[in-house]
Amino acid sequence: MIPLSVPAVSEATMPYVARLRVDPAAATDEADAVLVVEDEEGPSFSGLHGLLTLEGVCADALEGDVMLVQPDTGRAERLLRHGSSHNTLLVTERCDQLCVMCSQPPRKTHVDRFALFEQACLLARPNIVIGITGGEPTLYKDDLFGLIERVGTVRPDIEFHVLTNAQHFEASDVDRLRQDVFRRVSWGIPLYSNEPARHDEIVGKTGAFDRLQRSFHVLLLAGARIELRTVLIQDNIDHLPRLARLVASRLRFIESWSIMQLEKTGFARNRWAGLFVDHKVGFEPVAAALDYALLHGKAVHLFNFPRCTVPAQYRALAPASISDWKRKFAPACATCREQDQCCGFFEWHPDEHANAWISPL
Amino acid sequence: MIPKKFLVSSLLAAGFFKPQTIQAQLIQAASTPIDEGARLFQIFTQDHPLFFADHRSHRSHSSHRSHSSHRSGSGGHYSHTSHTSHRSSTGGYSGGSFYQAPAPRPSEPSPSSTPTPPEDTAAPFSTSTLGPRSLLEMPSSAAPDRATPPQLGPGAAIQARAERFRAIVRRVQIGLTGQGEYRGIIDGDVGPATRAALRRFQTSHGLTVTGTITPQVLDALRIASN
Ligand code: SF4
Repeated sequence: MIPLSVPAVSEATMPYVARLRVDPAAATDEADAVLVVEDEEGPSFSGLHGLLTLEGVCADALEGDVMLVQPDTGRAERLLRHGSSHNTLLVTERCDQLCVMCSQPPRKTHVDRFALFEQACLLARPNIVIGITGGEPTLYKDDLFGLIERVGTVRPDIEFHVLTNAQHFEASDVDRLRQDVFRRVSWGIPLYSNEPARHDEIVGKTGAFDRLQRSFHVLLLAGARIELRTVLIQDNIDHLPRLARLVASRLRFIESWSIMQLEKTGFARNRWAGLFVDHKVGFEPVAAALDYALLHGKAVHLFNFPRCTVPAQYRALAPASISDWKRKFAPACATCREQDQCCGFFEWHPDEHANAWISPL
Repeated sequence: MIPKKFLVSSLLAAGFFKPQTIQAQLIQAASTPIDEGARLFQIFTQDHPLFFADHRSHRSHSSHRSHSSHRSGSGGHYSHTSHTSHRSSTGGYSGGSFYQAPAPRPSEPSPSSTPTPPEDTAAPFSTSTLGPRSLLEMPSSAAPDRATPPQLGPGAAIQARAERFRAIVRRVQIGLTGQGEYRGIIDGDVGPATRAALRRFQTSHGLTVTGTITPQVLDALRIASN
């Protein structure tokens, strides 16, 4: 697994953002910190905020990375990794839903790092998509919109993908969301069932489904780009074909629909037996949903579905979706010829389960 | 905690060596410490990184800036795999372009290549008249005051990390002392006295005044030069 944060000693007392440069000639911004020295333990960099000593990573692997240096925790977070297309900013850990399978259970506390994230975005390499996630980012809607507007104005090459439960969009947001910068934002929004009560149950919030419809209305008026997300669990697998009808008929304005396999972390770790659906032995509801969506011209994808567990005719819909830093392959994958097109497994997925499940292609 | 390499490009700036030669040798020396010649060379480069050239004309210029080949060619090694609280749902599908550790640059000699004895470069080093003897003979790292070996455990790791950081700060403090800007003890801590000295030094040298150890400061003190 690629480390997203490294132990760090710095002379600063407050958190700051710096872009690391091994080649001093590449330092073009005052936020660039250049390599001073490197030994077996790691490199040291120097920039406007002074000296920064890192551990356990080679300078080469950090070239161009945008780091958030946190003197209080003695770590530096690799906010935007130069060589990666999977960069995500976690803007808050608070959330007003409590999904039964949540991969990152929320916390009550919020640390406001919007200003630092904004600096980081401005230092991003050209033409990348920056993910924004939480917790629930729209709990801090003003800060979030402000960040997108300011970064989007200065850096028209950058796009954002925001994961949100869409419980907080208001009619009064329409004008703001109609601005040009928001053309480059797509909103990843979970919808788990066509039945309001079942959706509410899964996200742990009464009225969530209805509130979501209201937000869809707002986003529709604003012409927002929406990626709908449905994680498969035992509670919603049988609803999937009917959910497909809802998506294809009433939510026609969404850009794409992602049907996602469960991630064994967070709440799902201990609830695995009661949540996980083996689509390999019961692909029918998934197939029915895919057929219906495709028939009605909806873009649909299978995320976190290892290729060999998907019937051949649907394999093209299962991309290598798992982010680089948390993706692995099972030992039994070694002989597979389609690894490079396969999502593989989450780093924390048990190999025993994976080995028994897959059949290398 | 011996540095594998220091970016001593001020030497290059001072016109002592042909850049290709020293870069190649630095890397070879750094990566093959078994060889006696290389080891000598390595020891030398490690222990005498401080040069207080009085000649302003020796300030390094941008033509000497690119010394990326001083870096080790050993690819990305990770001994720490901790990850942060990034939400672990799948990121948006983005075409499956995955991170790879950057390949070594073609100009970098492979670590297994045979080192060349540093004949033509050793001489100017050993007869260096670049600065006051006392400063040249100052130890580069914390050897003298590192009384007890680090203990095992996470505490030791933090200590070792801090020590690497402090070794550089000490060099800066020594440099500032040599410039008459610092009178405190060489303790490796960036405290108020060191910050004040940095500010004075930055002011008097026309650098950006930050009170921190910036690349400009390291360059002006000839500690690491960009
Ligand atoms: S064997 Fe492994 S790599 Fe191949 S398709 Fe299955 S899960 Fe993917």
